[in-house]
Formats: sequence, structure tokens, C-alpha cells
Amino acid sequence: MTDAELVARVIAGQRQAFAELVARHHAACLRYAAHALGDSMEAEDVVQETLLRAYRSLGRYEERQQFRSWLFRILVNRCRTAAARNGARRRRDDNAYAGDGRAAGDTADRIDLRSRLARALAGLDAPHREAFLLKLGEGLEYDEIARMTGASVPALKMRVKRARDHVRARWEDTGDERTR
Amino acid sequence: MRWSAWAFAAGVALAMLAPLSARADESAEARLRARLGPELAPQVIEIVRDAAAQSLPTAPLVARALEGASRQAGADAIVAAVRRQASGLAAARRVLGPAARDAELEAGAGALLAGVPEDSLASLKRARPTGSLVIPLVVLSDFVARGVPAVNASNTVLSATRAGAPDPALLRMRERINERIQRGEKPAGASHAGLRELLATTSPGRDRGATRKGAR
Amino acid sequence: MTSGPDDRWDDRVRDAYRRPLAGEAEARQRVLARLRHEPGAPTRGRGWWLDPDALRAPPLLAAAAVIVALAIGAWSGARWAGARHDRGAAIVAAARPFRATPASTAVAGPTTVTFAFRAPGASRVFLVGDFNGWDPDATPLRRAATGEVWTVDLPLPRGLHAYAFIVDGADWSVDPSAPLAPEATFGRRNALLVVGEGGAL
Repeated sequence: MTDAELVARVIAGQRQAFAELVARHHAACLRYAAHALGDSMEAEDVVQETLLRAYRSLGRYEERQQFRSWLFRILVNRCRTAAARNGARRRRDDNAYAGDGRAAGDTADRIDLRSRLARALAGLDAPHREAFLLKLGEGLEYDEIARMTGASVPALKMRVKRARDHVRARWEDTGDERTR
Repeated sequence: MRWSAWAFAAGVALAMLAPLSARADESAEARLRARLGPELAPQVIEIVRDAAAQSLPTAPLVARALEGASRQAGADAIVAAVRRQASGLAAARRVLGPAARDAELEAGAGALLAGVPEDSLASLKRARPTGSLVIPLVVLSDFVARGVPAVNASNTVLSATRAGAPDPALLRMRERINERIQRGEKPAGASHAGLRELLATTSPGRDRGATRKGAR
Repeated sequence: MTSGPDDRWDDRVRDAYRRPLAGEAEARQRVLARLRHEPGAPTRGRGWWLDPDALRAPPLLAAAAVIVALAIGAWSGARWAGARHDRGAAIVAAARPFRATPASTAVAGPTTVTFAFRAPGASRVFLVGDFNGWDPDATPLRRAATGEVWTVDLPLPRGLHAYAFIVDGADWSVDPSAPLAPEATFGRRNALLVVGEGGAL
């Protein structure tokens, strides 16, 4: 069953069809949000908020769109809002993923984001992360990203390039695979 | 987002009280450092400071962290719980407005975090625009805790409040519904029956009859 | 357009990005639980989402139940509830009579609340809550003459307070008849006490 068919069922009253949509898209949303925000707990909140908004506004989803694209548009916006909200308060030095003290032993019930990619993303601001993750992570085309984010294609290409350089430089620095 | 405008306005309004709250904050932070240790305390303190900056009550956040420490919860669980509480308080502030008292925000946060829709809280606020909402929210939360679906619980408390039921009546209703649930009635049906009883008492002229059984 | 090593690096980034996140499944469960409470399309019946956290009063309690009167509004005097639960959990509460005040008047000073707890066979009982920083050693209850009931009087400030009891150092309990917190923080539900927040009367 396609995503569009599931949406139709939800609207027709079969709420459990939405659980199937969640099963299909939750992981992708979470990995984007976690890397975009650099914070696994905030990411969970944002993804939850995104799926709630999606559920409530399902009537606005048009079948000709890819459901994931439609969902990601909501997600990217929620992440931007969250990043803007936190930007002023959070320390600029985004070393939250050096793993210092945050995950004390038992992380069985938390999302584990201690990866070299997360570390290498530290220090990148939200627009650059967004472009980088959508392009290199999600593999979207530039015009798709432009539609999603409202930025121009040339601007996006520049951001991706700068972000790649930033991440690449740190990638080699962090050395071997993520520590556990 | 709108709430940030509220937070800003509230923050400006409270700027004059900063010296007082600063002193209270210091002792709270000292407690957190003493009980949580050097790795966990700064994370919790950051959340508490954020909340203070938004003019949200910080005592419930501190209490949550200390509870977690006493229950020997893991650091991640403590941070998650405090953060969750903070987001609940922010949401409650957004719905209940800048004049809401701390206890209302705490009770509202609990309800929202447990799945009561924001619309329900907004409706409750409209049903009792000037009186305290603490008891209605506590009663609502209690129903949710006992398995009454959030929508039914909201409707029950909302209907009772709209009917003008005072706080003691709401509390009596809570007890009676609880007794029904403990006797084995389904929570949704129990709440429905309890509401009918209250409405029958609140407006004695309206005889709703006893013919209709509670749902399931 | 990119050269070989760049392509490979891009691939590694993509692989790292797409690696499954530990904890994702649990996060997904939490989303579904949250969605369960969402009104909207009519449900076909209760509980079709995942495992609801419905509270049923546990039939067996290692220690007996507790109740604390809500010192609000015109609520006054002691209440006695009949024994409901298996372990003879007669519920005892006595709040000093609290004078009703209009919502606009601040409560003058803290209110003394009596906490009482029946715990036959217990050696020690402590009260923990928001008001004492959840310190398990701060507020011991005293055994009353009958030997089964433990009590303590505590002046409490106005507001909403979560609390629980610890019996013999290990068993954290609340009275299932008391107003309960809607969420189980740290896996356990606390009870709620309201002091001085009575509204429209």
C-alpha cells in the first residue's frame, strides 16, 4: 500500500493507518532532526511535534506529492524553529557530542547520537546543516531542496560546498569509528 | 512562534524582579550541584536557567531532578524528564496565558504532557476565565492517570466547570469516579456517570433521568 | 563531476547518516503513545494504539494506602475512607481546617498538613516530595499509638506538590485514591497535593 493510500484511509477514519505511516517515516525524520539539531532529545520532541502536525493537517496533503517530501517540509521547518529558538541560548561551541557526561552508562531508552558525523557537524549553523543533510544525507535534488527550504539553488550549492569542507576537515580529525 | 513573543513580554515584565529570583536560583543551583554531581548538574541547570529566562516556574524542574536523583534514575532519564517538564510548562504558559499562576502551569503541564490536547486546556480557561484552574486541572490529570481517555476526561471536567461546579464539587466528583473505577467500571464510563451525578446535583431542576447506562 | 575519493567520502557520509539510531524504536513508541490521545477521526474502540498506561488500583499493596486531604477552599476536617484494599488500607487523613479565601487574596503563610500512612509491620516510613527535595531521609513519620498508622505534620507553602512514601527504605508507595500525577515520572506515579489554590467557590 502506498503512502497516499494510507493517508486516504486515515482521513476516512482508520486512524491505525497513521501508525503504519509513522513506522515508515519515523526513523528518517529522527535521523534528520538529530543531526540537524545536534541534540537527540530535542530531536525526539521535534519529530513528535512534526508527526502530530502532519496528522492534524493530513487533509492538506496532495496525492501527487511524495508523502515523505511533504512530511519533511514540516520537519525541516520545525527544526529551523527549534534551532532559532535555541540558538541564542545554546553555547556557540556545539561540542555536545563529544560525549562528555551526557550519556551516563545506561542509554537503552535514549537515542544514541555519538557518531563521527554528529561530531563533525559541530560548529555548523542551521542553514548549512540543513543543506548538507538534505543533499548528502537524504540525497535530495537541489530543486527539491529549494522547494522545501525556500532557498535558491545557487545559495544551496554554496552552502553544501562550505558544509562539506567543514565536515570533511573534522571528519579526518575525529579519526576512527565512533566510540561507544 | 507566538509563545516566544509571550515569553519575551513576560521576561521584560519580570526583569525588575531579577535580583529576588537570582537569590532563589542560586540556592536551587547549589542543591542541584550537591545532589546531581558535576556532570549532570550543569545540564539540568542549563534547562532550569532557560526556563527562568522564559519566566517559567523553576521549582518543579528542580524538584523533578531531585526526585530522579532520589529514585536513582540514570542521568539521561533525569535530563529527559526535566526537559520534558520544561516543555510542558512552556506549553501550559502558551495556553493558559501570562497571568497563570505557577501551580496552574504545573498542573497544566502535567495534563498536556499526559496527552490532554491544548484545545482542551484553552476551553477550560474560557470556562473559568478568572478563577484558579488548579483543581480542575488536577482532577483532569487524575482521570488521565486512571485510564480515562484524554478526550473523555477533558469533556468531563470541562462540562462540570462550565456548569459552574465549584472546586469542592469537582473533588467530590473525582472521588466518586475513582470509586467506580476501583470497583471495576471502565474509566470512560465511570467518568461519564460521575459527570451526570455532578450535573444532577449542580442543577437540581434538570432531571436527566437514570435510564441511560454508563458507556460499556 | 567529483573525483573518486570525493565520491567515496560522500558515500561514507551517507552511510554514517543512515546508520540506524539506537533508541529509535522506543522513541517511535512514544510518538504512537502520544498520538493515541489525539482527537480527530473517530476511534473504533479504545486501546488500539500501543499499550496504554492505564492505572488500575493494584489489588495488593505491600504497604497500605495513603490519603492526604487537599487543603483548599472550604475543605476542612478529617476524612476516613473505609478499608478498600486487601492489606487493610484504611485511609487516614487530617488536614487542619483551612479557611476559604477569595482567589485574589494571597494565603498568609504556609499551611500545616498532616500526612498519615497505614503501614502494618513497617519499621520506618519516610515522606518524600517536591517540598523536601525528595530527600529520602528528611521527613520521617512517627508511629502513632495504634502501631499501624504513621503520621507527620508539615507546613507547606501554597502550590502543587508531588509526593510519595518510602516504607522500610525500599518500597515507594502512594495512595491510589489520592489525586495522582498524570504521568509516571521515572516509571512511578506520584500523588499530588494542592495547598491554598482553591478557586471559584
